[in-house]
Amino acid sequence: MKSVQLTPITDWQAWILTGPDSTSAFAGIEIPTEVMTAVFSDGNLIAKTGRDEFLAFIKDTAAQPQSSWCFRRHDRILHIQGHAWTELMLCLCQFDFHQMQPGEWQMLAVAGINCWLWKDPHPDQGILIGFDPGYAEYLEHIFHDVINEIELRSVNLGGAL
Amino acid sequence: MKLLDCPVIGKRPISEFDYMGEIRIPPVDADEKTWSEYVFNRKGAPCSLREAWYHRPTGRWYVVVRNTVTDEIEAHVDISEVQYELPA
Repeated sequence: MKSVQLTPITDWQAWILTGPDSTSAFAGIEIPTEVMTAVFSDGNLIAKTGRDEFLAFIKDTAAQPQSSWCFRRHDRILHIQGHAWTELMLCLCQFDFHQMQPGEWQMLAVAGINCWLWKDPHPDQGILIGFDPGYAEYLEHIFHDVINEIELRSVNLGGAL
Repeated sequence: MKLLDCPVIGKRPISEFDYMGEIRIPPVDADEKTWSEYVFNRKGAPCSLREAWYHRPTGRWYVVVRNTVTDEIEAHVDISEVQYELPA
């Protein structure tokens, strides 16, 4: 089994909501109250990214948000998991992922690409990362290269130890 | 790598930010001499300066007070404190 697995998430519809009525756009879906935090419930992920701005990732089968300024997004979303996911991310980003708490939401640059990241609260579930799909080929190529390097390193060290 | 210690989102690489300069309120009702001063001149002396920084990954503006001598961020300023009305 590979040390890090990348799994595309394709069963969410992504939205950006802004404006004074954004809070009331989510029918029956729990939403975060603090800026730069996220809530995951009933399979939907909602992040509050500004005073009245949300990023929402809603299951295909659920009711989608409705408001005056509610726009579709088409993020490429990957689930990164495996025992070396932290090592992978540390190779590509300045942020200290050892300090990242379960359920924490971050927006930062990974390999120079603007991304959002959410750490799954369940142990060993890794993180979700979302970014502009125009950069998907570039970023996934880099992910695979770094994963291969990490695995080669671990094989070489194994014999020496 | 240079880091900017943002009081809101923590230490981030300076490459994630765009520097948008000193916060300056335009002298909307002023005469031409005052406008000329506003448009063409900057003080530039070492001080604690209110500056706007745009963080690209979050898409948010941060107004901070930065000591231009030590390069330390001294405070975060709420955006509502630097808003101003444009003439109709």
